[in-house]
Amino acid sequence: MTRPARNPEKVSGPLTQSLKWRVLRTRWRRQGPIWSNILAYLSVTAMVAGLTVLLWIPRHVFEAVNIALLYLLPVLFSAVRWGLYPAFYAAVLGVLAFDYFFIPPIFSYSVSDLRYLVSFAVFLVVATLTAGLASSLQRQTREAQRRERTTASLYGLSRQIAMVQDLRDVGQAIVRHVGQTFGVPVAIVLPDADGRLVETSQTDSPPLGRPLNPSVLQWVYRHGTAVGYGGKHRPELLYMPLKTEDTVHGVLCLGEYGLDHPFSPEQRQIIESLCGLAAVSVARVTYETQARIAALTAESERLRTALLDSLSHELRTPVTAIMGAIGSLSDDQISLSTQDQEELVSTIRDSVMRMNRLITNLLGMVRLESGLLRLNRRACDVSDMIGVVVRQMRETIGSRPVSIQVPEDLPPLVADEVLMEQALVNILSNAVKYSPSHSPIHITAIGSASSLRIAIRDFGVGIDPEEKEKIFEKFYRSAKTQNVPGTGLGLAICQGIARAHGGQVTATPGSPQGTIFTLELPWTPPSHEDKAP
Amino acid sequence: MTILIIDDEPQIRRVLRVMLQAQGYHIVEAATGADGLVFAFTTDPDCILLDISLPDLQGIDVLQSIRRQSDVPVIILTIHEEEQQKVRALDLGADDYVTKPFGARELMARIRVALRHRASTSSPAVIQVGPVIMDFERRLVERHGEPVRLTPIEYDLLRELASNLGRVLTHRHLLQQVWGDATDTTDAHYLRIYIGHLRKKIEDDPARPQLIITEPGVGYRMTEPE
Repeated sequence: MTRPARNPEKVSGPLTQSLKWRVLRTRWRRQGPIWSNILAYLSVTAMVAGLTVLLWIPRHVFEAVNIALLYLLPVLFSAVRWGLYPAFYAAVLGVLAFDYFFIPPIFSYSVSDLRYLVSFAVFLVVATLTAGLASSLQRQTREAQRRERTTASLYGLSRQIAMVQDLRDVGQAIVRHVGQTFGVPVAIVLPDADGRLVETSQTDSPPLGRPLNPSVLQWVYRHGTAVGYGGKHRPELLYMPLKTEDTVHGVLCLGEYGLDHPFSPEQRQIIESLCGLAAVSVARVTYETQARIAALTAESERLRTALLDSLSHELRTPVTAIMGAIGSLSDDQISLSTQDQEELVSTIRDSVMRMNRLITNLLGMVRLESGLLRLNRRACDVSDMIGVVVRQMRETIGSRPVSIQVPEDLPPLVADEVLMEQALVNILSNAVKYSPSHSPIHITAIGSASSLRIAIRDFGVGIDPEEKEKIFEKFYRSAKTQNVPGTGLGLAICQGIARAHGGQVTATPGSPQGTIFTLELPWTPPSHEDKAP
Repeated sequence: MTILIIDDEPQIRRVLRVMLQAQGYHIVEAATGADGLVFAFTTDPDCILLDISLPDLQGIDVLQSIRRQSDVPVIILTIHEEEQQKVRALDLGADDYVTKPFGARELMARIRVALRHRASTSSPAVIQVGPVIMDFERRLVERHGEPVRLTPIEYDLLRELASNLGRVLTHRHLLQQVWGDATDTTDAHYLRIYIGHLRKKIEDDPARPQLIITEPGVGYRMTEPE
């Protein structure tokens, strides 16, 4: 990598200790700090000259001591206005003028009375001390003001980007704030997912004068070193790395080269602080995004594993049973009794039904998740719906006594009848699966003003309180029912169907045993859901 | 008796062929809708089993083409999720449907009902279903020997269901037959209410109906109790 900087140079200050400045296209300017210094010294000279003229007229009225005291005034003024060195200059000039014009012999630097030399010394000491104190006081004030401005600017930016979650919004907030603070064009360049630098955001007013230099951007991004265009110590266009610890998160570009609006050292310090804060924010959002993606990936990984486990087990088991049964039935060598043959045939039938249930549930899940589910809402009779479900499940229910209690005056439920029945079938088959044969099942419907509740109660293994949410998660199987075959899909589908209707399914432990599943649905769906597929 | 099977899956055709030949039916097979249409008009089948999802023509289109020239019974083979399609096929003149995967017993029952309805266009005057005896000449309905009082609408509804014993009737069909010109689908709710009343009067356990079966999303079917 070649260095684009011709005159690399180090500048250090309170906030720049870790930062090396590289100045591009250095040039000397007429209006530098020197020019303003010359102006200060000229003013001091003029002031001392003016004072001398003023004092010259009433020189017989004043004592020499009074005149000496009055010569302290330009020293104080210079100290406050221009700092230490112009104040020293004013003191020396004052002593010279005092000696020349007011100490006899007048118009000569020779001193007749040697005691005046002591006065000169005292004057110089007093002037020097005063100048030093005044200028340091003034420096402290400026420093305090500068700190306050930096703090205010940092606070403003941090407030704007504290709540932002999206990298793009962070970039926009930074650009907007920096642009408003300095009134210059600003652009932020952040790496994309592949690590390529892409311009994320820039100010509209004023717009960037010219496109950013990609090789400079790349260099700043790779080395984490700031690059400035313009005068030595007074850059006009800055490429600032957004750097935390040892990582560079992007580049902030601000200013414009050639318009003669350089950044002052004070502004540069504010810029550096802002860049530090911007870097931390960009890093925060980047890491948060990465963490979210990692969590999502882990979750989908877990689901995929669960799906594969479930599928391979739930499909292979019935297929194995069918193949075994068919093998025995079609083998001439094996002689089977009629009873054995019936047994094998019913094994085949059960296995096929199990596969069909699995396929139905898998398809249901896919339809729910793909957003392809279209609710075909109509007024449904609750009692009829439950009747259909119980009839459909009559073989599964077997010898269990099922009691159905539905009030006669229930209004019709506006819902997708077929999906509602699928949800009820899943709850009912769950109740059957986890309760002993011959144990009763109660189905109760209760209507309130706003909603319908269908409760299905079994007297089976029950449910642990800490599991009553989890059982509705996809592929979740309770540890105590691992011996019962299942995919962990049925209840998740129920919940999906209930949610699609603006309702929900809950599970509560029954007393003294068993589980109560309650399907709660609003009589009519929330209006905003009518448009949803 | 000839049955035409229009289905693109060779395995399904094979199973149907074995199943139906064992019952003494003569079988004609077509793998595409176009072939199916040709056979439907050349072999004069007594019943057609039509898969609704065919690779070339839509099953619905095949059904419409058949219906333009013939009133041969057509039973639709469909899959579970397609209630709308079932209703559409029934409204377009299909006699009934079976949902894949289906059992042999269910398919045989549907075919028997379809063939019976083709054989006799006028329904018998007296029909018995389980414990219920309906005498449509004398407008009498008895359950376990006891007379059942029905309102005129309930009676018309029962008569429509009973004279199509074993067949599915769509909501629209029942509304048109019983209420005349009432075709608005919102009236389906009235239908539900009247079916509920009817069940209370003729079913042993109205919560678990045995005679008037709800076909979810499609309509109702009157069957012999199991």
